[in-house]
Amino acid sequence: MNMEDNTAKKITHEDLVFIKVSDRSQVYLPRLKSYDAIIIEYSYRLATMEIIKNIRCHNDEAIYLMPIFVYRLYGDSGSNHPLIDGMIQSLNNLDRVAEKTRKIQSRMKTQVNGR
Amino acid sequence: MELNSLIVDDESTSRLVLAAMVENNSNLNLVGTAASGPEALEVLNVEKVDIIFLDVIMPQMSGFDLLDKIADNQNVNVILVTGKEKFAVKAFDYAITDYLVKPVSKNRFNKAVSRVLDKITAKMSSSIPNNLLLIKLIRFLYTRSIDIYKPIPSREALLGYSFPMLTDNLDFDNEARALDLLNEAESNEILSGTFHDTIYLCNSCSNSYLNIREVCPNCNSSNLESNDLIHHFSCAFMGEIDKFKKMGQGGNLVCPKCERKLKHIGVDYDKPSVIFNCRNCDHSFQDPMLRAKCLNCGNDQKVEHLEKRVIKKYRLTSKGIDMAEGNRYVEMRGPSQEDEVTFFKKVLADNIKKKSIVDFDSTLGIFHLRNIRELFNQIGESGREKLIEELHSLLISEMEDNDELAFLDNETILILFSTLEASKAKQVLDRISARITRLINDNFSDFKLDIEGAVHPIGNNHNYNELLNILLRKINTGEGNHHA
Repeated sequence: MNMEDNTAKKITHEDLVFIKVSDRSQVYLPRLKSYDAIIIEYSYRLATMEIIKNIRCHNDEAIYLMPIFVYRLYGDSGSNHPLIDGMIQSLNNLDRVAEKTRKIQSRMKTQVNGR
Repeated sequence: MELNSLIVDDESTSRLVLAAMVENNSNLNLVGTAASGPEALEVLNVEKVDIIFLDVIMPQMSGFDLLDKIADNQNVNVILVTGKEKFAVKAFDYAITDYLVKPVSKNRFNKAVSRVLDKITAKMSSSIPNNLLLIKLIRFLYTRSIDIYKPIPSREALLGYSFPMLTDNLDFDNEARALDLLNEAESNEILSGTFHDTIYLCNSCSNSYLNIREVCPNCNSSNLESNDLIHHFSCAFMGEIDKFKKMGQGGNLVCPKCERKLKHIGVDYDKPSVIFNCRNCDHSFQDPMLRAKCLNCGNDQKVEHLEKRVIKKYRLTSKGIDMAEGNRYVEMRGPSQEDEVTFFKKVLADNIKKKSIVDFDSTLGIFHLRNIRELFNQIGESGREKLIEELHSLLISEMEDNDELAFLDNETILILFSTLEASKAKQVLDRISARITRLINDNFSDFKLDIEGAVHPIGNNHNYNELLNILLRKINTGEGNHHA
């Protein structure tokens, strides 16, 4: 994501830092490493999917394993795509997002310790 | 894609002709011409060269000598340009991409270049190593605590199913690699799989979107009309329903033979089958052929030639979890054809070496399946792999424990009879020839295999290239045994 892009927003929740981006913005993947998870604001399917696929196809583990949440205010929030970690309809309460992010991160760290 | 090209030939006319061909081919960019090996090395030191058009016989340094000097440069494709076909055999050893016999025609030149391009494209699209893909998958499954990894039905996927994280990391045309990778992971006990579905794929591109339809067995046209056949019990007349309709009025059916009105199906008549008429060639038949047209590559194949694959759902095994946690590393790499030939050469060299110590008989045999490529084109990549596997099993069943075999390419097979004299090896070879022919006839009734075999006793001064030359000469001059 371009830091000058005003559609990208940094969200701090307890000890975690998320980045919220619009699916219409350019996402510069290496910068994602500074965040704990990415929240993609959904506007249309192909654009959201393109960002998700780009992240999951990256060869840097910190990027391809990054927790991804899709923020969709309206529409179906029940069906999760297998490549994402959750759908959210509000940014007011990110407890569930934080819980899932911590769980993924704890498992990501397992390998670092195992190496 | 544009390939940087270098022409190496001591004849100035050849250089000029080739340079003109390179310049007329939009996929090539001429970066240099050289009249000798040392000159070529100078160009190679300063330019990034993708393809070399290389003459063999040159003063000072031959084409093969030049290749020895640049052997470490794995990314150079070489097209041998030679006046003599005999160098084609030696080209095997140097893994040369292709060769052209002088005088080079424009057509053959362009075909050779497009084969190189195909090879490079295939290499690029499969450049993600299996292990990296697998690690990505199992790390994803592990970090997400995914218990069951299920294929997702998807119209956008080549296979009709997507495997999250796996097919997402592959180009559309290569998504079938996911199945091979999952099978490999299962055989390495990293994943355990259970049946999910069976799919049928195009034997050329592995696409699952197929138009399966009835076609005329005479001309393969799908422009057919079908008519019910009617069997009138009382007079035993059997004919197409249209003939009965013509005789009746207002949709009534009247028998054209006895002119009685047909009343109740099952009581005075029945419809035992359907007759097809081809609008293209006027052929009438009862058993249409089923063909599947791939909606991706357009390949039209018999349904029995479709590639059948099983789709599974998977769980991470304890070994897989270990690997995901970084406590274990499993290298997944199947033996390649090149490895097989290298191993064969080593076993043959050992056999020859032993002859200087102990006196014993051994024989090298060769099979050339001359027209097998035509069959491979019909049955596609997966059919080819299965057939090669069957040929492999057949050959193994006829060989002794110490014998060795290698598929030089898909149409040439070498067998080392490590303790057999030539006459006995020839008997085995004849038996194998007959079995291969029978195997092909039984499975592909409309294909006639042209197979040639030859043997030659191995002497203690022989080497691999000499023996291969002798055997190739035997089968090319008809000295070998020909079965068609």
